[in-house]
Amino acid sequence: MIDPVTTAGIGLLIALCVGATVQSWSRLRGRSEQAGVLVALWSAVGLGALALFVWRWINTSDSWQPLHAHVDGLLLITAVLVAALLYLTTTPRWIGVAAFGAPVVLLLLLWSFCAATWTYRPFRLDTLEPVWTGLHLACVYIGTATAALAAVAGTLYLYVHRRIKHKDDVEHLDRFASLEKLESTVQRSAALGFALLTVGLASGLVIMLGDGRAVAPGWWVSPKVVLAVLAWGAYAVLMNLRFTSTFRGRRAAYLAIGGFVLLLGVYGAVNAMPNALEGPNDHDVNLTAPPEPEGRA
Amino acid sequence: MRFTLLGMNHRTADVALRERATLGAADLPAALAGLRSAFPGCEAVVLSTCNRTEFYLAHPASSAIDADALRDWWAQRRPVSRDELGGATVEREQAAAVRHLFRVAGGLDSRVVGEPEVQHQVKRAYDAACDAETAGPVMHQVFQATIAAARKARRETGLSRQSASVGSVALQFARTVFDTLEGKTIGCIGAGEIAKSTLRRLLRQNPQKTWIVNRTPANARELAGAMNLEPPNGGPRAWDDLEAVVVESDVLICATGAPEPILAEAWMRPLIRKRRSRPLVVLDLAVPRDVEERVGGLKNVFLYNIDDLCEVVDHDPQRQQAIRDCEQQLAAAASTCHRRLQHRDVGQLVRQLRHKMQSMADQEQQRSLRKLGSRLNDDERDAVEALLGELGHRLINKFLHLPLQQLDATREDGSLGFYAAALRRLFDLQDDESTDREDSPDAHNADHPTTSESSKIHIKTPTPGGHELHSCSARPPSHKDDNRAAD
Repeated sequence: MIDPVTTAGIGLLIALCVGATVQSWSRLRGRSEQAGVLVALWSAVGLGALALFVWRWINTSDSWQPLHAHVDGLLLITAVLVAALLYLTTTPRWIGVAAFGAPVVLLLLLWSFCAATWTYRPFRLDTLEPVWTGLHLACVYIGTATAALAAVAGTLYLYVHRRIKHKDDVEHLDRFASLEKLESTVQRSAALGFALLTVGLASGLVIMLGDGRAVAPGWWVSPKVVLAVLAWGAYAVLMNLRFTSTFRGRRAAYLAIGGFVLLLGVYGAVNAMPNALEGPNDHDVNLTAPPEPEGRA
Repeated sequence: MRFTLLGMNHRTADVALRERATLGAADLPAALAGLRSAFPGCEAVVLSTCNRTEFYLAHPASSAIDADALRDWWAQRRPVSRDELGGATVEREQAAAVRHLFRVAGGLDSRVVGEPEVQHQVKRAYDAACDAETAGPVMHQVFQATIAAARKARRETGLSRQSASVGSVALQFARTVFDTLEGKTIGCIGAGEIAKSTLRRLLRQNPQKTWIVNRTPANARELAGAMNLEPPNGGPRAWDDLEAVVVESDVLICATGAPEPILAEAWMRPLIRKRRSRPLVVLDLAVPRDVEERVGGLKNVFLYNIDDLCEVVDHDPQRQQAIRDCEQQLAAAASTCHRRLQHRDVGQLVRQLRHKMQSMADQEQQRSLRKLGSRLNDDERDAVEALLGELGHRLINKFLHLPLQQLDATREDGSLGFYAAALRRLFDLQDDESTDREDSPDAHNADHPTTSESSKIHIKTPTPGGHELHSCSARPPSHKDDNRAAD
């Protein structure tokens, strides 16, 4: 179903996000020192995403669950990520975070637009255990938002690290958070993301094992499951090896970025492949409902 | 006497050239002795810091110093070519040289503008020159005035309170990597003034441990004592423990006077592996550098050297205002000092002129007495001799009264210089100290035209604040008085 309010709202949010991105990069390059416009734009993006999410929950859902399509999850991630970016932007020495977070938010919004229009597909909430499904979706999406934050902090870490190493514009280096702070943010965000994704995966497993009709034999080697386990594994490595010498600093940053990319891969697989949960033994059963014909509510 | 500067600083030469051209503290006595023999009759002070190597010379106007000769002399002592020095040195004379010295002492010409360490370095350079007996009356006057004025200006403008010392910039650099120094270990190689001020700044951040390593253990112990560092939270470590300190430290301060790098890349590489990916901030504050540049390329090593300090600009408007105020005060003080130097110069000339005229009068008196010959008995001869002597003295006084009055009224530096040059030219006067010493029973008083009675000039030069500048009556420490007597 293509909902005009949702698509128009996301379109507006994309426009605002482009403006916020330009402002963020301008501030990063020292061309603009005023944070007021930047905060206003990001607030508009965050509040807009949240408002759209709530509006869809009230108007397009007939159950208590707020997440009934992929677009809802993406809007939720956007709102959470923008809230975190806003908080960090107004914190001293976090000047670059909005600039590096902006592309991620923009990507999420563009994806939301696609998910609300061409690839719109509501979840099959009627056939699955609603509590477990709600827990699974909420944990996976909010976990993804924190993973996105870890990736943003990781990117900023690499940027600041490079500037320090190359002594690029050293008199303005104090505008950025220290490498220690950035590494700590990567690890904390990743820890939260890891916990949420673990719960999300566990609840997903419970759903699949509890409802044998929902999945096909061989589901455990399906693209969605394999990619999800890989992403979870990346975070497991990040979390458990962070105190060893091997996975500190730049490697931890790369791992955070890689984990987030894998998560995006999981989402991509789920959306791009209608039978993402199918294994080698083809079955036409999956967690998402087939696209509804246009015109049907 | 003319006051001249020749030297290189952070504006004219990069750190690689500066560290080759620098004269370390150990080289200074020999360098000063070399200058004295190469340029006889000159007074010399050598200021050698991490930012600059500068030669301040005072020489008679009649025997100008050839800057190329000085560069040749310099190039013979350090591994730099004369051409390199030619392209990286600055020359200044008289007022410009004095003004430059005042700015340097006030920290206004430093990489980190307003830093206080250079004030002590100027004083140490002056002390070294006194010890080597290359500082004479001119240097005493200029350097004492400089040190006093710099201290006063920094205090009155508040720059000493807001000073962005090397230590504060070092802390700023450390904080690009570490959010806080709490729980961190600081290693300090060297126990000099820079190490001390940097450590003082970093210790305010409550690091967990602070180790000091120095080739001379006594100096490390002294610095550790001054910083109240006691085991287990830090203290002096033996030079043999350097590897352990490098492995243990999170922030490493290198500020030794070593002529060669202490931390080479090949030596550091295995130590970095032992650190197991912990970041290490290395602050190389020494010139010549203590750390090879390639060390900065090692993983998890963040190397800053003294050149990086120049990139740091303090945007604090209060501090900028303090710097401007300090600049004005020091410019006024430098101008006053230079004027005094010129008055002193003129005073010497007047004494020489009086001496010359008196000699002429004495000759004429002898000639007249010879003409009178035997027509006078002894009593009459004595009376006539006294009369002629008084006549000559009175005539000299009357001849000199008006020009000296004009000179006394002259306040402009340019006019004084012009009059001094004119006097030298018209009366063929030599610019040296011999007349002072001959005329005055007390060579010390003869150094100071403001108090010298023999010159008959009373030039009072008040400072802008209405106070006299630092007394120029030579150096106060008793053991240095011997040097002054030699002047």
